[in-house]
Amino acid sequence: MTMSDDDLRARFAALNDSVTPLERAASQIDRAVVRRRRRPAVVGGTLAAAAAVTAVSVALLPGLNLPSLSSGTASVTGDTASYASSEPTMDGEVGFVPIEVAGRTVGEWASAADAVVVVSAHESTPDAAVTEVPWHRVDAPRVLDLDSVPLDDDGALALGTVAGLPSEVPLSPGADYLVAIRWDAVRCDGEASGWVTLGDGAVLAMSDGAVRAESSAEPGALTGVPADPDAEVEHAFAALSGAQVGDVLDTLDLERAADLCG
Amino acid sequence: MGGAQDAQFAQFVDTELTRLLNLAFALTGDHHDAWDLTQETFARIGARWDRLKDSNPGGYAHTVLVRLNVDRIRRMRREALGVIVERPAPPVESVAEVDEFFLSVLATLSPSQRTAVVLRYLGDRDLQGIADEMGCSLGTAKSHLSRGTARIRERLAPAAGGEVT
Repeated sequence: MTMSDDDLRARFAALNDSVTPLERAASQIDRAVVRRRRRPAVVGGTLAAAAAVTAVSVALLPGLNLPSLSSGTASVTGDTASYASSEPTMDGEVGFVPIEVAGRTVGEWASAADAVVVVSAHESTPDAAVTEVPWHRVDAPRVLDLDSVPLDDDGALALGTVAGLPSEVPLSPGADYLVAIRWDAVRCDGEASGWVTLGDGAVLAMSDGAVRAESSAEPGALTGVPADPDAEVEHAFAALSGAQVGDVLDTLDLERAADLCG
Repeated sequence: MGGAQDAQFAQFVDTELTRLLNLAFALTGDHHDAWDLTQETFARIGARWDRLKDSNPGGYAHTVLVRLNVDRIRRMRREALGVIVERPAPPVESVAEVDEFFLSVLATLSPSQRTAVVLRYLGDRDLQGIADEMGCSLGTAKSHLSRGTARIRERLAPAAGGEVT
């Protein structure tokens, strides 16, 4: 027997009418809205100031291989490889290029980043593969979709290759890093839209699945409470997992920063 | 937000609550999770109501809920919870008999596949609409929908005593 589209629609239609809110639902929503409004006010000046410094041209950090980006830098395996060289903006392909929007503070990550990813440095080559996407902005224009990406030969998720990490963050072979990235739809350098890393501060070394803390006494931000947008990420995120960092960013709920060249 | 806007938002909640709650239930198959998603969606919309009220808040809420759910499932995958947290009963009740077998079939889909089929068959979105709401390319949306639909048919066909097609 073939299950037609109409059969499927009927199944979903039955499901669609299966639950209803109780009377107290609306008041619970009201309280949730009030709690969210009490969080710190959004201050958009930080990123705007950074953008003003960089003017209309995005200066790229040393060591960046732009030609390889435009031709597709991602080392994507499996069925995504077929479009890797021609359409660098497709999902599953990540050509990271750092932009001059600093990522030093929690507020800069919360407003400028569209996603936070974990990358693992390769053992034998000077690049890294995205292995996890702990957080997206809820209104991100694109999402990195792990489900669309096949496993690589080692059985690990292989989204792509990070080709342009800031030079001041040397990759240690085999180490993991937490990186703030952004979907840059309007590129100042005329390149096709794509994923870029934020600038200084956007890469944090990880250890045992958490952002590395310089000392054991260094406290990370408390998840679930409004974070300080001016706190430096290397301190605020110390000892937090990628998912916990996402929780901290969610507490701010900052408006997404406009594209530099939009 | 003033009194008029509060009233406007309350009207929006009243209009959209059941629709979004049922969408969340189709995506999660669980009253608690469906309520958490719905409440968080309204909280985010409500906090920005002055900016959203004149656009398409219903459409925006739909997208927010869909993406929150994908994030929620990814987070669940990564975090092995060491403790079981008892949650208060959600303000949700069943008003019709739920097809538990169908829910169990949906539970076998990946989050993205489930989202795509729910958007297609419950939300009546076309491929472009699915791609827009999921924040992915058209090709990726097509892949999720195709694989998700195929898996549902594969699981339901034996139960219906028919062949897999």
